[in-house]
Amino acid sequence: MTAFLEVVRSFARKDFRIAWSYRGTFVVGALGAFYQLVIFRFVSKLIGGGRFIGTADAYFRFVVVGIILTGILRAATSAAAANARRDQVEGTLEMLAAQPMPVGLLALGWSAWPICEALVDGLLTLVIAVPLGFTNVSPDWLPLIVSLLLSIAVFLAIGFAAAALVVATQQGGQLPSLVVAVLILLSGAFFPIVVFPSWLQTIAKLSPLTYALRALRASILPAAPTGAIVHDLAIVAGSAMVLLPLSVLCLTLALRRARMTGRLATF
Amino acid sequence: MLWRARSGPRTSGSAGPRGLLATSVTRSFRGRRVLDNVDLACAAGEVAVVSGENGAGKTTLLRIFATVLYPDSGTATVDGYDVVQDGSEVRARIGVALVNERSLFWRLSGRDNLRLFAATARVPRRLRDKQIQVIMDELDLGGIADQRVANLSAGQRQRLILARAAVAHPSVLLLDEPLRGLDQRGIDRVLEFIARQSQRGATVLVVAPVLQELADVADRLWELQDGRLRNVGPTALAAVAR
Repeated sequence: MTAFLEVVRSFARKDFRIAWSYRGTFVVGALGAFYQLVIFRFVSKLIGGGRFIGTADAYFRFVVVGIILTGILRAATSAAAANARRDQVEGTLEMLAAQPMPVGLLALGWSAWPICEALVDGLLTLVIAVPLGFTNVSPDWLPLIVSLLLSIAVFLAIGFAAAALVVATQQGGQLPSLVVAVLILLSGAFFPIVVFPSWLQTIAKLSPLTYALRALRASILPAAPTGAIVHDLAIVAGSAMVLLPLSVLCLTLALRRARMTGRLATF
Repeated sequence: MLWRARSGPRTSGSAGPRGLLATSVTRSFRGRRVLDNVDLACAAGEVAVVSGENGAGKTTLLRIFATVLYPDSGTATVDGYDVVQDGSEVRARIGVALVNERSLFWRLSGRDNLRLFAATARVPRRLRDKQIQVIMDELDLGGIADQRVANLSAGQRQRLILARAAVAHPSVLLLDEPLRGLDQRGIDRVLEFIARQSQRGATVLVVAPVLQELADVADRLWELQDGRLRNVGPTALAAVAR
């Protein structure tokens, strides 16, 4: 287990060093978070007090949690595919495939730093959000951490499957962005799903992000219902248990195919 | 004390010989047969050199032993492990240096590149930096260890690729054109490096278009022509060395 974590840490360190060599990106990211929150602060004043959401502050709290989780979702879903594609194009994929590590570990290594970065961005978002009105929150830490970990596991599965597509077909790197966009729309990241027509609400209930968001909000926000948190977490955990092994299998098969066709070194 | 990657054949089941063995290996690309029933044997601790013209299939053979390319037919084993069936066991025993500068992370320093690959090869953390320093010094890279790969010369990058292959002290080294882009001093360093790897018991397979400089360190020599491998043997080596 220690060796396993050590490899993941080494990948995270490698990606951090590469990211740090482009320092300007960090500054732009922080400014982007601030800009997004200011927009939603004003939007909350516009729509607060409406039929579906409580006060302006209540909506702002609702949307801040959505922003943080979608940031993590975006990272977990797109990191493996993006890094697989980068390694394909830059020529490092073949060498990584010749290393003695399980496929799942490689995929986790690809995702490690982007998820850490998204978590740090999430903290930064919270820090910026507090003076803008993100107050009256009462985090319930255990459910919060469990929700976060299970959500990451589900989103990683989607990311690993996307990486499999990239390895197998040398394209599809943009697919995770599309998946994330659809999930964000369906799952109520920026508005409650009760605003949907009933048929769309039914589809929204198929998305694990819907339950992840609900569980996360229930563990942070005072007004959110807490009774259903175990139910929501069970659905997210079940999704993770099914999707993660399946996605690692997809990536294993994709790498096997690349070894057969000789496409590990081409792009 | 230095950490070594796994070595030795499997202890149960159909045990194969240590070293490298290819039996009737065939591989085609888009209808062109690059390797045609290739047989090769290289015992543990030997240095084998496969030479041949550009496009003769040398790198294809090396990539098959490196498990990054599967043969269409035939079998290839590393320390008794089949490259297709036992890929993870093979990967735990090999160090690979493909002639591809792009296989390095250019935004990182040479040392950080080696740190990553030492970690993936499971070199314990407490020994990692020491082992990296030793291999970099052996290949005359100590002075530029902390420079970004992007700032290194082609010859320095070539030696860094070799250092990466050997950092975990694998039982088998697969080297693709290790002298490419090197000046005379670099060539001498790399030849010493190959001889030292052999002395510590590693099997070394080198593929290169010309064998002149490699003759001094080679125990066996093959020539690859039209997809077929011909054992040139030590006699020819002696002639080349003269």
